[in-house]
Amino acid sequence: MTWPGRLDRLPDEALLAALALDDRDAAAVFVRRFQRKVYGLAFVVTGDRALAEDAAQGAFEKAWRYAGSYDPRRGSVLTWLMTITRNVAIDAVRVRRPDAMDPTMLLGLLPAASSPDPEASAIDSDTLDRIRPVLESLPIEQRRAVLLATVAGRTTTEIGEIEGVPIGTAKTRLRTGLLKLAASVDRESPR
Amino acid sequence: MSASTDRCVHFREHADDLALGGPDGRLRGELLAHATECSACQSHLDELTLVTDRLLLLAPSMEPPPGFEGRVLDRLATSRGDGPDALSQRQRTRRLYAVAAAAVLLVAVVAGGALGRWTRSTAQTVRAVRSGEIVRADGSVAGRIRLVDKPRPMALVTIDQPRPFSSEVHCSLVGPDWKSVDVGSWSYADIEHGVWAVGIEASLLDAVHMNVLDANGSILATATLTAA
Repeated sequence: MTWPGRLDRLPDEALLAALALDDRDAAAVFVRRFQRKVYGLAFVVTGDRALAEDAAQGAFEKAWRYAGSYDPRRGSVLTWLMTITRNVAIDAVRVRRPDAMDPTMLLGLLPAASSPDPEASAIDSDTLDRIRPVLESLPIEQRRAVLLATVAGRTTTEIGEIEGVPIGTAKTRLRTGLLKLAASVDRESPR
Repeated sequence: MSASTDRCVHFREHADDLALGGPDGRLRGELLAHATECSACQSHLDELTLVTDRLLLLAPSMEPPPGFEGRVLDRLATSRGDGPDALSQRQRTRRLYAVAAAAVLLVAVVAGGALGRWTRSTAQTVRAVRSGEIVRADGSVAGRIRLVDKPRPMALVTIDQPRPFSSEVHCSLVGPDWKSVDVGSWSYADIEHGVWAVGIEASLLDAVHMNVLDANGSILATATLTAA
């Protein structure tokens, strides 16, 4: 028995530590805190509500199972959890491919580069603040390729199909966009 | 880049894919092996990974279907192998000690007015008005009692050691007039989560003393209650 009122106020890293200790109350608070982000990403990747829920559940299960391996030097808890979610959701799509999402709907789910993210931590916001202007300045086809690959977990083949361009073109757009974004990140910046 | 220029060129052709979680199998192994030997390529990969990871935060937040949280917790319980309603011995012990350290009290409101047992399902914040350490005959502290006026009058006992008393004990409260009132009893099963709660009359909220007695009426421990 712990104290949900207090757990609600715990920083993400401390809450994850409590989760690693197998605390049920911490698990409940952890899920409550991140479920909207996790489910949202899972839905963008899978395009299917049932599959998104299964993937989101799987992501939380993996986070619980591997909470002890989280390394704060490599990013925030949210970033870590979102990376897990993307990977689980992509695996879920590979195993049980749902009906292809309408590309228009998928593109509509992609965020505007300038969208604020109130749930991002300070360190995430710092990096995002540097990435966003570059993302906004990318040609639209590069920006879409980057967001389709990163946020929606689409392969270059799928991006080519969605955009109606050859795979090579899709790959060039993605790589060019990512390299521009990477160049905006200071190598000395905190991870 | 180092002397391994060709490898570096090869690496950079695939670095974006690598940052996105691909490619699979042998090629991935080769690329990662090169990154461990070439700091420039490792740094390049780090930058790409930083970007691809942070961009995930731009995914839209969406409200999951109703009951999602409960289903996740059930799934975790199933993965633990203890089922949704069971607790492992390790967890029980941890909870027992955790409760003892509680600075903020939480108490279950038992459904249907059948007060007397702690349940984990309906926890809510409470306010203690009086409290005291439960001290055993040998002078050791067995736990703490708190008299709570909200959400309803009750005595909340937290125990910080597994099985500090015999199998079943009685709890009595002594008012300012030194009148003793038996408010209930608990056993191991009742207190396995480290907490026992019982509803009391509002008039007992000003109790000054608490006794823990065995089945024969012998005092096992006492607590002096003061304003919380």
